[in-house]
Amino acid sequence: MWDKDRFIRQVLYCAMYTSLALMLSFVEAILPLTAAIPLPGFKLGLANLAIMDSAFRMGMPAAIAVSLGRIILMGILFGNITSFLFSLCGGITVLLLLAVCRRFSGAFSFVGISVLCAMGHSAGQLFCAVCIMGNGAALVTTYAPFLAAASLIFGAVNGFLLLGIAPRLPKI
Amino acid sequence: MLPAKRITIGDMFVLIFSLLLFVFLAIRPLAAADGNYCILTVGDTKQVCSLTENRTIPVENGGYSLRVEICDGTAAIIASDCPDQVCVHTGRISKTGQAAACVPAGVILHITGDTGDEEDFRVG
Repeated sequence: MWDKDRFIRQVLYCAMYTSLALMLSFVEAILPLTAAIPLPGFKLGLANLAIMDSAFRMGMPAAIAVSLGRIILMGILFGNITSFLFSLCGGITVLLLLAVCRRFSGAFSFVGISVLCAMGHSAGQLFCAVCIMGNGAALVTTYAPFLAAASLIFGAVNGFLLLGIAPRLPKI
Repeated sequence: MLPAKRITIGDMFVLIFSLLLFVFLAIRPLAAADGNYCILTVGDTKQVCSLTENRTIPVENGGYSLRVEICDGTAAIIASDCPDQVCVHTGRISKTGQAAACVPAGVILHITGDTGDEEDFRVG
């Protein structure tokens, strides 16, 4: 049955999660990470915290809204068409993996899910690079090891962060 | 519906799988042999260059200017006016399968053992 109050609450939480994801993406964008680690697409993945939490608290439709909202707003505010396509490919892969993880939610904690999503995000971005530039073997050979290492490390760090934060957040 | 509150066997499986994937991807280029040619892809055009002949190649594409240097059996993008300088930071490459890419300019430099059949024209 249609519950207007519940719907409004869900929309409000979606907006809050999108704002949080956008803010975390902005923090990542202004950090001079590329100077320290010169890899295209290299990010801490902090926005994934908001997307993962929204997926498990509010369901996949909310996570899709939050993720796409963040990607579109980041593209309009701070990016260009290339960065938008890279984000979109990574974001879609993460959403697919989150949908699978939700079906087996007891089998993984946020640590495993976060590492899996980080790996998926990197794979999605590599796929996008291969589609845009061609020469897939050369790109994969060059960047995949670095992206895999970054995904493993920062995915695990983000996972442990969310593992600590999630139980303290109020129930939606 | 939150996931498990503690580390699970599934998590360990994901972590070990990711670690093995990284080790595999990292070791593979190290085991490769020294290459004989580098293939410079600029947009849709491929140019094959011998690694035995030292030279500097200026490249213009996508509004960016790059300089590719071939020296002592290695190749590198030594200068670029792209914003992130990832291609320049990649450094010198010499083993088969290694590559340096400038995504904004649409330029890829990669090393091969032979010229293959994909060249548009050959230099050197």
